Amino acid sequence: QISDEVEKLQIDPLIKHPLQNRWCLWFFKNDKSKDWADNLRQITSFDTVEDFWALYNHIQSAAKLASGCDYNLFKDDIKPMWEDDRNKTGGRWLASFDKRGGKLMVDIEKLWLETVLCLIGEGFDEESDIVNGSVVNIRAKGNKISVWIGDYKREEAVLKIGRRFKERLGLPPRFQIAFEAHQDTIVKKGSSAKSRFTI
Amino acid sequence: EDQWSPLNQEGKKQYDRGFLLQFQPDCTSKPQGLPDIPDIVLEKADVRPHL
Repeated sequence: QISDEVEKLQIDPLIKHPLQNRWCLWFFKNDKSKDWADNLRQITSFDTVEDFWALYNHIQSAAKLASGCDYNLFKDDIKPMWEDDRNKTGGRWLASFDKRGGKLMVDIEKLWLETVLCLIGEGFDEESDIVNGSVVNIRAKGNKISVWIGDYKREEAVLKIGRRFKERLGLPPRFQIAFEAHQDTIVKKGSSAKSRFTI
Repeated sequence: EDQWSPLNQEGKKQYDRGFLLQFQPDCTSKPQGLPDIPDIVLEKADVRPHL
């Protein structure tokens, strides 16, 4: 038995580290000559730590994307859109880095990577099962990062996820993040939906 | 401790940021089958340090 274990340890470097979930990275580019859905493209999916880094190291930094572009990272069987069955009853925690207000100078690439590492490493603990994905929006008027959750009615889980998200991004207490249910975002009047919670 | 490892392959696959970050510099082979999206897909690995 001991020799079995020694053998396994020796092949350790050859074993890729499996992730709990398979994830898919999507890219959105705002090309007004095309339909919204045609601007959203799957890049690739992965389910090991090593495959994630190989992908990350071969795509452009979020900070260098043109305004109007997004990266979306979602569990492989969930589309990064409200209409997906797993998103319909959900919502998102939204961190808005408004440039006009000069609220907070941030390295958007670093914050996006922190968010992604939290998702793929199952950093939301027991609440990870209702975390569907995450989005970074690159916009001239201010970048945004959101964490999408599958069920806005599970308030306690939603709040725990929000607190962990804020903590992992290292945001100061005065910087507020807001939770919106997708159904409120769809019917919003004006530029922002009502927030169900803020932290 | 029910963490996945080569010796506990049924364990939970939960990793903290420090553990994940250590693998970044070694994963420089281009994944197969990336779509042709010149806006974002790089030919050569760009290992961006995040400390």
